[in-house]
Amino acid sequence: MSAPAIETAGLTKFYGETRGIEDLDLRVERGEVFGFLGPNGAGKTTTIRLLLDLIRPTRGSAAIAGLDTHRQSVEARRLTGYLPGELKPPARSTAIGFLSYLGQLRGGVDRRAIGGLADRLELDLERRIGDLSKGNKQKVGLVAAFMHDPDLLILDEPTSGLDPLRQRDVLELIRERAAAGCTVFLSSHELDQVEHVAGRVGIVRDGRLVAVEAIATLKERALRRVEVRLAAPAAGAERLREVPGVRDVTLADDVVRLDVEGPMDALVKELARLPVQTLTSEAPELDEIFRSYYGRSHAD
Amino acid sequence: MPTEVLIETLRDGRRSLLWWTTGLVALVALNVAFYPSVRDDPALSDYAKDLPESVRALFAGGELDLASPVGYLNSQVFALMAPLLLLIFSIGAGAGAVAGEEERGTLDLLLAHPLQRREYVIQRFLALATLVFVLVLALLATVALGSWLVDLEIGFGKLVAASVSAGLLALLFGAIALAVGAISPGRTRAIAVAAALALMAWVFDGLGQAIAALESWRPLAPYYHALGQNPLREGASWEGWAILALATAVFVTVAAVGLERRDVRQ
Repeated sequence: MSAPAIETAGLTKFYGETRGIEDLDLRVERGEVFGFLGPNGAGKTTTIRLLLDLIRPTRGSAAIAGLDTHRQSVEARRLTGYLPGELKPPARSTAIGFLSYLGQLRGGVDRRAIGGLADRLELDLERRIGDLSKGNKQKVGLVAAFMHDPDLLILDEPTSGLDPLRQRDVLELIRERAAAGCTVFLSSHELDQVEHVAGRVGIVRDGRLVAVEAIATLKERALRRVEVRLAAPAAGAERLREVPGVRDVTLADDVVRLDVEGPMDALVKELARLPVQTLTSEAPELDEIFRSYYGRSHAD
Repeated sequence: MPTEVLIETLRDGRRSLLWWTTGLVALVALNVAFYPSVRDDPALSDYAKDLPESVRALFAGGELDLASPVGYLNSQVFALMAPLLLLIFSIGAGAGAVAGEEERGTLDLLLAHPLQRREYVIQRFLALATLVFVLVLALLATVALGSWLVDLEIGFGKLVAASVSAGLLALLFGAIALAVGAISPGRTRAIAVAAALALMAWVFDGLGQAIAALESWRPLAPYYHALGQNPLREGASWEGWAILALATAVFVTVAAVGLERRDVRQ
């Protein structure tokens, strides 16, 4: 049996007294798209930089495709495409000059692969990197990560700094590579950036992995915030408090606000009795998902 | 041995090298061009004789007779100006190779590629050595051509010896700057440490010439092995060159091991 794409055992990194990540046990299977979620400063970037051997663990170990990320780091990095969270390519080079150099470090990359990716992302390769906008610099990094068709993509906040349209392109690119068998490990502090591409997510907080769940499960358990505007104040609104999964109901004249956990079926059926004018339902913030998840797993 | 980093560094450095070469050639040519007027004006030469020995040791290579070809060229080019320019270039490039790239944020991405850190360090050093070599060639060509034009009679071999000595000295301190930046982050500190050591070596050797009690300690300072034994008069000191090259190799090794062992900053 082949080794998993990523496997860490007790992976720990302290910066002096400060905890980067502690006792991380993670297993990402080949061909999987794994979202690594957590608020800023939770330890996502630390974990990624440990995987690339840019920093060394205080204790514990990690492997990429069975290759130890420190002792066999060159082999491990050969299989990997990496997009740093904060990309700072050299201002003086042109995009194509810099990408060719990075390609050389990998023993040469097909120029057509670079051209194809640049076309898709609408990146002008002849421009000096110093003259590019933040979003275009990010595209240079994305091309660098994808151009050699790696087995494993490690992407630190790949959609940050891009406008929504371009974000969709990037997610589409990730989906394509995944469909072709590439393993993708991507970090984000927003669930909605990964929920359409990732199969599973790990949630990390304060340097600890607190949950690993299938996206579907996570969303099922997650709270959604619902706001209902009624055509007229209705006495029946009080009954919403009794609906399974519904909590924190507030009634103000013709506006009802509530949180609902899990399937919304019962709520919708109850609402059907009311003169509903508008209905809005917000995707929960990652932090709320985390809180609800954390609360549940302790109550379980 | 992979050469991608070496080639990219040379490509990236060619514009700056052009400016450095232009400046070095201009300064050296200007100094050499004044030889006839100094030779024909004994007052200028006498002025040097009245200087304290320690000052003469530091700024004129210990030369008494500035009107003589060796005395002139040593005092005007090889005692201070040429090694200083080469040192500034080399220390700057050495500090930039690891610490500078790290501060600019590019080292992180480069080392995430399938590239051994020690290979990176060695290729960067080879690029530095190549650039310094080009500057040494420019220096040599300028003094050789200039000397011929103003009848400054010094054998070509002696000019080679002095130019190479200055280059090796610069390379050593470039390697020190590289090592300091590789062991711990910080470009400014890498420059400061290497520059301070170069200054100390220079002062130490000057004092060693002037103060008898320090004379036997002179070989401790790298400056002695490069220019302290007057290569312009005495020719190449193979032993001195070997010592400089060995010390340089030690610092490049320290740099490679140092970078292998530490965390890279983002």
